[in-house]
Amino acid sequence: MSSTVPPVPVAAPAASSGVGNAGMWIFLATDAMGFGGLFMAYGVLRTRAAAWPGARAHLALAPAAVMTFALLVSAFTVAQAARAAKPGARRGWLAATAVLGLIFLGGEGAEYRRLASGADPVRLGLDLFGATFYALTGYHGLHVAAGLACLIAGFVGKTRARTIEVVALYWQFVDLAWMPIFTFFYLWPAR
Amino acid sequence: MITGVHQPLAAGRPRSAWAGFAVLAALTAAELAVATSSASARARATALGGLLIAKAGVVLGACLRVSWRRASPRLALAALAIATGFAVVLMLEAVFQVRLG
Repeated sequence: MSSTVPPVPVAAPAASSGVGNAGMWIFLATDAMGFGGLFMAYGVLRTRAAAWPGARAHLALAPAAVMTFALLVSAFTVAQAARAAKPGARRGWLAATAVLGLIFLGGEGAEYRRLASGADPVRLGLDLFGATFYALTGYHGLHVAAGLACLIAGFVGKTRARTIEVVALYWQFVDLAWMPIFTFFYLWPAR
Repeated sequence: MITGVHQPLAAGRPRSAWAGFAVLAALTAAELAVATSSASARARATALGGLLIAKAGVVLGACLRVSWRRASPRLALAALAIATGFAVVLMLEAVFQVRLG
């Protein structure tokens, strides 16, 4: 008697990447709600405030523009890292992304130091502008730092291309989250 | 098996990455030009709002390669769109001093 064994379904090679991407998207959805809550709080507080300082009153536009361009370029380099076929090229793009992330964080640190020690200091508990500025940029900065840790881990260790793709997805989101911060804090006209 | 929730980044062509980056850089430069221009606050706020939406669209479409047909990105997009939309509306309201009721 001959019996035919039904073929065992085998997961497609892309399944792992799909699961990783799905998990990251679910995380990004919850994270977007966190950013969204902060943006809404900022919008409400700014709208209801009797007065709100202009962007140029406290913040320096030129360093922020450099930080923004560094983050934009890093979004490109991390996409190249995710696309790179060879591990050497991937590590190179990851290193470039990490350096750009460090430039961004360094710029943010310098901005905090300048704001805290200036003639008209901006501190967390001093006024609504300072509170919302530090809350949003600090929350975003923590995301950049976490992404940087993942990039460095990917550079140092033998990270698979699929993992880099998930990290790239996160980094692109971090880039996206910076855009409204830059616009609302550094560019938006005062009332 | 969970299929990919977005088109994998690796599937994109390098040319599209370059194009996306170039457009983002151009939009950011336009933002800086608008912010430092001598136009009225209303005109600047409107232009900046439009440029921000355009930039977000480029990142979502060209960099994150999201598709509205898939569930997980849709969830993230809905959260982002609602939050950013609220923030933009509230601040446009502040700039234009519109009061309802």
